[in-house]
Amino acid sequence: MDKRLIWFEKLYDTHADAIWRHFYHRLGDNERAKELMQEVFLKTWQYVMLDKTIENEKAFLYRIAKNLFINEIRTKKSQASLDSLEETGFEVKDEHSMTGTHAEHTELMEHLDMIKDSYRTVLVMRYIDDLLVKEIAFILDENETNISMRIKRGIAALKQTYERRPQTT
Amino acid sequence: MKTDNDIEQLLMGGKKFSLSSHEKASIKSALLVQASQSLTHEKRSIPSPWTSWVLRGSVSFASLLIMFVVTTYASQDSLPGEPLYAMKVHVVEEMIALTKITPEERVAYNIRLMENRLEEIKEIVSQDLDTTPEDLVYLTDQVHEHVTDVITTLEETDSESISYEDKIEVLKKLSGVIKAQVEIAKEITESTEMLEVINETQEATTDAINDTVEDFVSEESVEFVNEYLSDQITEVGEYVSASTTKKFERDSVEYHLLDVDEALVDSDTKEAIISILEVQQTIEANNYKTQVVDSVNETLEEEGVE
Repeated sequence: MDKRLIWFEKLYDTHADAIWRHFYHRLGDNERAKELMQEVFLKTWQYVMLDKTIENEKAFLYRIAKNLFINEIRTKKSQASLDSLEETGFEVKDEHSMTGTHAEHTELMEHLDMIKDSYRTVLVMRYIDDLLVKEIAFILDENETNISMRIKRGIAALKQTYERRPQTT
Repeated sequence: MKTDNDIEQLLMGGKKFSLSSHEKASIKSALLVQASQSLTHEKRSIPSPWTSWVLRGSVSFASLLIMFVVTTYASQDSLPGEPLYAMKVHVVEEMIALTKITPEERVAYNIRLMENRLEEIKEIVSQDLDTTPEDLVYLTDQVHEHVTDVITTLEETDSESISYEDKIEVLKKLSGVIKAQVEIAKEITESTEMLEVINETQEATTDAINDTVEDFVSEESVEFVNEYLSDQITEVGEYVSASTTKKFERDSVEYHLLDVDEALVDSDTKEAIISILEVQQTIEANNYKTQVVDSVNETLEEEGVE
């Protein structure tokens, strides 16, 4: 097998879930998240095929994801679909260790959709994608202070959505 | 009321979500198929038409070269009746022959081929291989063909390109080997066909020697010709007086030397040269026969035959 192909397979195995999660939590659409995740990897492959090298794979993938997401919301204002959570095609790993329940996560998705996209982006990247502030700043091409501030504001904004709309359970 | 920590914990719960293994594998397969296809496409599409042509040409040439080298190597020791022998004779040797441009190269190469055929005959005879009489006839035919090629090349080449002395030297060696072949053939086969071919070759060589010596004597200065004759006589004298020379060899040489003396008395330089060359051919033949006999004896010793 071609060395690049072996590398590509490994790249996918390592980052596919994270990239899918990123799109899923930003779009709330499982199917579209899968398509975009696939597109991220295809674009990465096309880049490698031009004999270009990637120094930071993770950052590179998220940068492509960022650009794809911008294109996505430009062409179609995606709505977080609660129905998508009922779809098959994804699973919850280690459900017992999860803080809260599946229902709580469903509600989180709903609340995420209520906050500004700039807040949602950094919250997803920081807490779901598990990226460092430094990495987020690099991917979004902004300074770290701005990102830190935005994360704090994002948390506050999300908290407010919960306060405005208390849990039904 | 949720705290910041609660919100963070809720968000971190999202990390537990992942694609089902089936979904993940399915997308992976699709991606790898596309990636593989683009690799194939890359290999086809990147070179320009010119580069592609050159590349294909180079690859074809390299493949042919590799095949040629492998075939040459694999077939070099093959003998008549073996699968690679035809490849060696009709492909490898003929292709190499095409690279021989100058008369000297052609002569040298044909002599080498003739020696190869003789070596094969020696192998067959000494190892008592399971070969048919046809194989020996075929080899003898091949020897005849190579000798004829040498003679033709020498005839067509002027004395400035190949001197008369060199021409005579080549023909003398050829004739010596052929003389030995006649004797060996008489011992190992009753095939009249093979003997006829060898006799034909011998006649062709003898004629070529006579013609070349005649041209040499008529075109070169008397001093030069006499000097040449003197050198040949000295060479033969050294052979006769050498301690390694066996008695029967010495006798056969001395017998022929009588003809040289007779020609010198008659002041027939051409005849004297031809006679001394015959002596040298006899020496060549003896050497060749000795090699074959030694080779046969070695084989018999290895097999424990007394």
